[in-house]
Amino acid sequence: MKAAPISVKMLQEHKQEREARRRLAKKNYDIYLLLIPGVLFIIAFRYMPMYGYITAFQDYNIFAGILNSTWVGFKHFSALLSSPGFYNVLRNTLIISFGKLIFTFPLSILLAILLNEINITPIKKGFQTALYLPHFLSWVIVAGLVVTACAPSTGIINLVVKFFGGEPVSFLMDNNWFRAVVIVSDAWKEVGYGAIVFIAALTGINPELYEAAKVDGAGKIQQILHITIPGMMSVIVLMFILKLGSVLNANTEQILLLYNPTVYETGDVLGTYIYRTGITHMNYSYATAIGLFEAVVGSFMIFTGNLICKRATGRSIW
Amino acid sequence: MEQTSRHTGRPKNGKARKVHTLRIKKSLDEKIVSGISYLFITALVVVMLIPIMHVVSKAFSAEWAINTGSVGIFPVGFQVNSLLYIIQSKTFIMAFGNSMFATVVGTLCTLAVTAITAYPLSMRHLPYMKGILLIFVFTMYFTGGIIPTYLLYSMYGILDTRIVLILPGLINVYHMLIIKNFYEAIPESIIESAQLDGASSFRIFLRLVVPLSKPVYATITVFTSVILWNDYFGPMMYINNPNLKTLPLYLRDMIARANDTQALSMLLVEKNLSAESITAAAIVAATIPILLVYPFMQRHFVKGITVGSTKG
Amino acid sequence: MKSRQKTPALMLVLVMVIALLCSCAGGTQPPASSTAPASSAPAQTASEDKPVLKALVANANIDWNDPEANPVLAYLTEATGYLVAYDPLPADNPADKLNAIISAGTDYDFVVISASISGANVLYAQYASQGALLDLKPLVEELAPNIVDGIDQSLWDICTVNGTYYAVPTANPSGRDDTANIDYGIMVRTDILEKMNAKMPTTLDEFTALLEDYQKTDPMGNGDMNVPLTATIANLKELRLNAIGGAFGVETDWKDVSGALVPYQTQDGFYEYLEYMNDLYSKGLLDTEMPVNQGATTLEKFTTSRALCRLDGYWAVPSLVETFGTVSPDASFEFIQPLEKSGLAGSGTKTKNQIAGYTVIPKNAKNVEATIDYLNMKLDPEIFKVATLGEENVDYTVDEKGAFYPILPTFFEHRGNAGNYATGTNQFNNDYWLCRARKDENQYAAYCRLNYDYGSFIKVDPSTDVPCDVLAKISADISVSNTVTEEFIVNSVVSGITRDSFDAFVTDWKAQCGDKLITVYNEWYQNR
Repeated sequence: MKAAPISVKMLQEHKQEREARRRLAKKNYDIYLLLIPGVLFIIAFRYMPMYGYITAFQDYNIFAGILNSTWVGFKHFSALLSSPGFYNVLRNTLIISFGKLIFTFPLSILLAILLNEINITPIKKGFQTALYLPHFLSWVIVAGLVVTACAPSTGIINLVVKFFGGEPVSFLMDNNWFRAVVIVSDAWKEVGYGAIVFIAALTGINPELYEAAKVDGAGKIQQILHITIPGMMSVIVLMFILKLGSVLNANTEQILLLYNPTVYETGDVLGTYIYRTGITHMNYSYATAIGLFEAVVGSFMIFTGNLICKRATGRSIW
Repeated sequence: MEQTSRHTGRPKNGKARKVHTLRIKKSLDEKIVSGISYLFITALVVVMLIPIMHVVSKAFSAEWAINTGSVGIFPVGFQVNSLLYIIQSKTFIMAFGNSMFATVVGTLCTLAVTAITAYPLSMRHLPYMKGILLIFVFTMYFTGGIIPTYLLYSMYGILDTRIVLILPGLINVYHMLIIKNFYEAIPESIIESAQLDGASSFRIFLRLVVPLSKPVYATITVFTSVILWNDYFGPMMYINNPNLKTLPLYLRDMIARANDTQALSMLLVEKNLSAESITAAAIVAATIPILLVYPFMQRHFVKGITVGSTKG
Repeated sequence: MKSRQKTPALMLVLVMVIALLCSCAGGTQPPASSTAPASSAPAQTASEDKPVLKALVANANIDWNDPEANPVLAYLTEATGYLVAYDPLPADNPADKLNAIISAGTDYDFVVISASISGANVLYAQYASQGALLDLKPLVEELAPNIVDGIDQSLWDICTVNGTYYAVPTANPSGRDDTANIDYGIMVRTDILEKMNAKMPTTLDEFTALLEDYQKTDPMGNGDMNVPLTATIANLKELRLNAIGGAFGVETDWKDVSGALVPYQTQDGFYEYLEYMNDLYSKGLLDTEMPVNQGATTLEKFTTSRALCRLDGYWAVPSLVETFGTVSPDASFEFIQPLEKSGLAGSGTKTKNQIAGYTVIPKNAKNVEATIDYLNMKLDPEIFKVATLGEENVDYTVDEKGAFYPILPTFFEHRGNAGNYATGTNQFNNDYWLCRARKDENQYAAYCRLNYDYGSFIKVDPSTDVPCDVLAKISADISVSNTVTEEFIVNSVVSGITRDSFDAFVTDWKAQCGDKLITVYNEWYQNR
C-alpha cells in the first residue's frame, strides 16, 4: 500500500474544515440570498439555450429538430480546421487582436491618466465627451471615412505624405499596411470610450496619497508611476484579461467594410472568412461548431490570462 | 506629513535650502506634464472631432455637393430635408419612444440586478463563491445558438413583447466583473467596522457599499444604456410587431430605403436628398439622445472613497 | 441635498412618461402576443365575416400597414374585403429571422419569401421539402381559377418541388417579353467626346483607343487625376456581363455548347478577358483605385469630370441628370453599346422566368381557405390591373398602341409601392411594369437604349431557368464559386494573369465546387 497513512487526526481536521465552511456559509446566508435573482436569470436565459451546442455534432435540420437530426461527431470541426486558408485566417485574427491589445489598450490608459491632469472641469468634461463620440458612429460610416482618407490620389493621409515629399501609398491595397489601418482606425473609434472605465477607476484613488507624495518630493512622473498606475492596477488587469478572451472576435464588421481581395492575405480574419465563403449560410450546425470553437478558445484565453496575472501581479478575477 | 510654514516656505524642522529647490522642480514638473496633457488631448480631440463634423455636415448638405465630394467640415448647400425626412414620420416617434422605454427601464433593472449580484461574488473568502462566479463567467463565452434561443423565448412566451427587449440582457457578466472589481477595492476596514456594529449584510450593502460605488455604477449605466439603445439584433430577431420597433431598426430601414435607388430615386430626386445625407441624418437622429447620458453621469465620477470614514 | 436627489428621480419619471406616450403614438396599444394583428388604426374597413389575415413579408422599406402611405392597401382591402396585417422582416440578414420563425412553427396566414432575401429560392425549396409548408397545388387548382389562369406554366415549373408546388410565384416584371431586363451599361461623357472629336466606340479596339486618347490628350485638364474608366469591384461583374465580356464570349455565367452547359470560368475567353482588363489596369486606363472604390467614389469621379466612363444602371440616370444640372450644365452622357471584337459581342441577361417572390402558406396557418380566396381575388384581372396601375386617367393613360403612361405625380403617390404587395402575376405584368419605367423620360430613354436599341446584343443565360430544388442542392457551392472566382478576378486584374495561374485557378475551382456545379446543372439541363 503506497498511500500515506491517513491518521484519524487528519480526517478530523478535514471534517472540521468542512464544518467550519458550512458554518461560515450559514452565518452569511443573507449574502447568498442576494445571489438568487442572478442565478435564476442565468440559468433561465443563458444555460437553457446551451442544449443548442449539441447541434455542432450533428447535421442539424431545423425542422427535424435536435432529436431527429443525424449525428456526425467532429465532422464540422475537422472541416473547419482543414478548410483552405484557415490557418492563415487564424493567424491574421490573432495578429490583429494582439495588435489592438498592444496599441489601443495602453492608449486608453494613457488617455485616462492625462485627462486626470486637466483640472479645469468644463474643459475636462468637454474633452471627455468629444473623445468618446467616435464610438457612436457605426463602422459603415467610419469605414467610409477611412477609405476616403486613405485614397491614393485624394486622401488626406497621402496628401500629407506628398507634402513631405513622399510617394503616395495605397494603404488599403497594400499587405504591408492594411493591418495597421485596421488597428489605428479601431483605436480612433474606441480609445475614448475605452478610457471611461479607467477614468472611473482613477476616482477611487485617495487624493491624500498624492498630497503625501508631493511633500515627500515626488515629481509628477513619479506620482503617476507609483500612485496612479498601481491604483488602477486591478482594473487594468481585469480589462486586459477580458480583452484576451475576445481575441478571436477581431473586428469582423470593420474589416468586411475595409478589405478587398488584394489584402485578403493579411486582412482576412475568421469572421470575414466565414461570412465571405458563406460556409455557415443555412448550415446552422457548422455555425454552431464555429461558435463552440471560438468559445473554447476564448475561455481558454481568459483562464490562462487570469492564471498568469495571478502569478505575476497577485491580482486576478478569481 | 511634513509641515511647511506658509510664510517662508521653510519647513519647521529647518531643512531650508533643499526643500526650496525641490519646490521649483515640482512645479516645473507639474507644468510640463500638464502642458503635455493639454497638447496631446487637444490634438486627439481635433482628430476625433473633424471626421465627425464631416459626417454631420453631410446630413445637412445638398445632394449635388455630396455627389461631387465637395463637403468638408461644414455643410455645403445647407438643407434640413434629410433630417426632416427621418424624424417627421409617426414611425420615428414610435420607434424613439420604444427605444427610450427599453433603454431606461432596461438600464435601471440591469444595473440593480447586476450590482446586487456582484456584491456576494466580491466576497471571495465565502465558501462556494468562486464556483458560483465561474458559473457566471462561463456564460460569457458559451451561449446558445440563434435558433435554440429563439425557440426558448418562444416557449417562455416573451416573443413580440416589450419584456424581450429587457429581460434577456438583464445580467451582463462583463459589467458584473467590473463592478465586482470595484467592490473589492473598497477597504475592508470600513466594512468590518460596520459589521462589528452589528449591521446586516444587506444593510451594509445598501448604506455603505452602494454610495461608495457611484463611479462604477455611472460607468455601467453609460455602457448598458449605450448597448440597449443601439441594440439591433435583439429587437430584430424577437419582435415582429411593427409598433414595437426600436430606433436602430427604424434607422436601418430608412437607410436601406434611401439606398434602394431602383425604386425610389425619383422620390429622392424630387426632394433633393441623397442616400448618403439620409444615412448621415439618421446617425444624427440616433446618436444625439444617447450622447447625453455620459455628461449626465459625469457628475458621479467623483472621488467617493476617502480615508476616515471608518466612524460607524 | 434632498431636492438634488429628487430632481434626477423626477427627470427619470418624465422620461418614462414621454417614452410611453411616444410609443403609443402609433394609435393602438401594442398587443401582448404575436397572434393579434399588428396594425395602426387602419382607415379602411373590412367585411364583417372575413377573418383578418396575418402576413410575413420581406422588408421593402415601406410602412406596410399604412393605407395613407400606400393607397394600394386601402384599395385591396376594399376590393377583396379582407384586411391583412403585415409584419416585415428586417433588412439585414432576413434569412436568419425567417428560419427561426418558420422552424418555430409559425401560424402566419401567408409568408412572402421575396427575392430581396438572398437565397430565397433555396429557402423556399428547403422549407417545401422539409414539410414546413402546405401543398398548394390541390388548393389552387380547386379554389383559385385566377391564379391558375394568370400564372404561366414555366413559372410553376420553377417552384415545383417533389412533383408539386408549395408557392404562388410572383414573376419579376420585365419590359421585355422574351428575356429579363438589361440593367447596366458603361456610361460615357458625350460632351467630352465632342471635345476630343471622337465618336462613340462600337468595338473593343475603338474603346481602348478612346481611353488611351483621353489619357494622353487630357481634354478636361485634370493632369494625372484623369481616370478614363472608373469602376468598383462589384462593377467587374456587370462589366463582364453587359459591356466587355461579350467581346470574349463570356457575357453569361453559363453557355449552351452543343447541348451541354459550360461555365465561363473554364473558357479561354475568360482568360483573354482578364488579360485585357489587366492591360487596362496596368496602363492606368482602368482606375487603379478600383479595389477600394465605392459607388460614391466612382460617382464623384464621374460627376467632377475626372472619369470619362463609368458603369451604372439605367435607374441612376435621373439623379445624374440632376447632379450635372447643378454642377456642369454642359455635360451629357450616353450608354455605350456592348463592345465587339472579331465578330463577338453580347450583353448577358437571365430568362424571363425570374421569380420576385414566393407566396407560401405555413403548415400551422389557421385561415387557409380565406387566404387562398384572398390570393385568388387579387389576381382577378380587373383587381390586378387597378392594384398595379391605379385609375385610368387619374394615375395613368393609355396610348393608341395600348402602352401605359404614368400621370405624374399621382401615379407614384397612389401606386409607387404597389409592387411590394404583389402575390402572383398575370400575363399583363410586363406591360404594366413599363408604365413605371416611363416615369422619367431620361430614365426611360436610357432603358430603351439598353434594351431595345442594343436589343440585338442580348444573350440569355440558359442556366437561370433552373428550378429551386436543384438550386437548393448546390447553393453552398455557388456561394463558394462566387467567392473564389471574385478573388481570382480581382487579383488577376490588379496583378496580372498567366496561363499557369489561370490553369491553377480552374483546377482549384473545379475541385472546390466547379465539378459538382457542372454535374448538377447538366443533369438538370439535359433532362428537362
